Amino acid sequence: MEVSSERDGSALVVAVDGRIDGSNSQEFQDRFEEVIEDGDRAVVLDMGKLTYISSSGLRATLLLARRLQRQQAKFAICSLSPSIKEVFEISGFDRIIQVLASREEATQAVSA
Amino acid sequence: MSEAGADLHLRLPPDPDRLADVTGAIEELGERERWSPEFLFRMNLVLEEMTLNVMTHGRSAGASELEVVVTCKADTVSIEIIDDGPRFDPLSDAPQPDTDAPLDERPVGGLGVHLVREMMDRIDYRYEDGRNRLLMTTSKTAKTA
Repeated sequence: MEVSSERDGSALVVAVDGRIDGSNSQEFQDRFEEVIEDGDRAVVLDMGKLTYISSSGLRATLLLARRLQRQQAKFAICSLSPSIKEVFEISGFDRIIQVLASREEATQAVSA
Repeated sequence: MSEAGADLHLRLPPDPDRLADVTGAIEELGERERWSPEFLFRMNLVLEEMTLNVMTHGRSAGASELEVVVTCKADTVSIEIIDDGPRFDPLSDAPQPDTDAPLDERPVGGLGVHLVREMMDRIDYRYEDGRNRLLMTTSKTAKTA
């Protein structure tokens, strides 16, 4: 699992690739938290290169979304594979976190 | 289910550090059986959720052994998880998540069992000879959420 980040205008775009499972979900959460600055108001998580996520990774994502909500940041997740999209739908995560098809759409949505 | 005819049979200590042994073995089996990436994803997730439960909660409650038995038939795959911990039926004893709750009220636990219920066609729990036995079966044809 790799976490990388870049800034696109006012948005922080974080990309994760590989697998997020019970063995590394805490590491994912920590690495993501490290790159968020208190002043961030627009954050995108690009899951385009993520091949697997289980409930541990969903839990970490939920905690990150809550943290971002507390600092009044807009947050969107993009580029889910069909399997990850299914997991988001079954969990109802697609109803509490904005999920968009592409990084461009997500960046636009949080920057608006 | 006959364990002798199993396509995958693992017996290991219920230690979260051994999760990769379980997920690695199901990836190999999926390749051998030519499962679609989507089906392999589901089986991987089902195995992780239920074995990790035993490796964490079961272990702290006293479980000392975990067994994973996977049997592939023409149209179905069965996964049985067996442990020697105290009686625990994840179907009735695990908390039900509220998948409609808003972000700040959403409970962080209980999602694993919910995902497994949605991904498998049939789940049977029994406690026999001092062991929890969770048998989960699903059809190999795509199951949509």
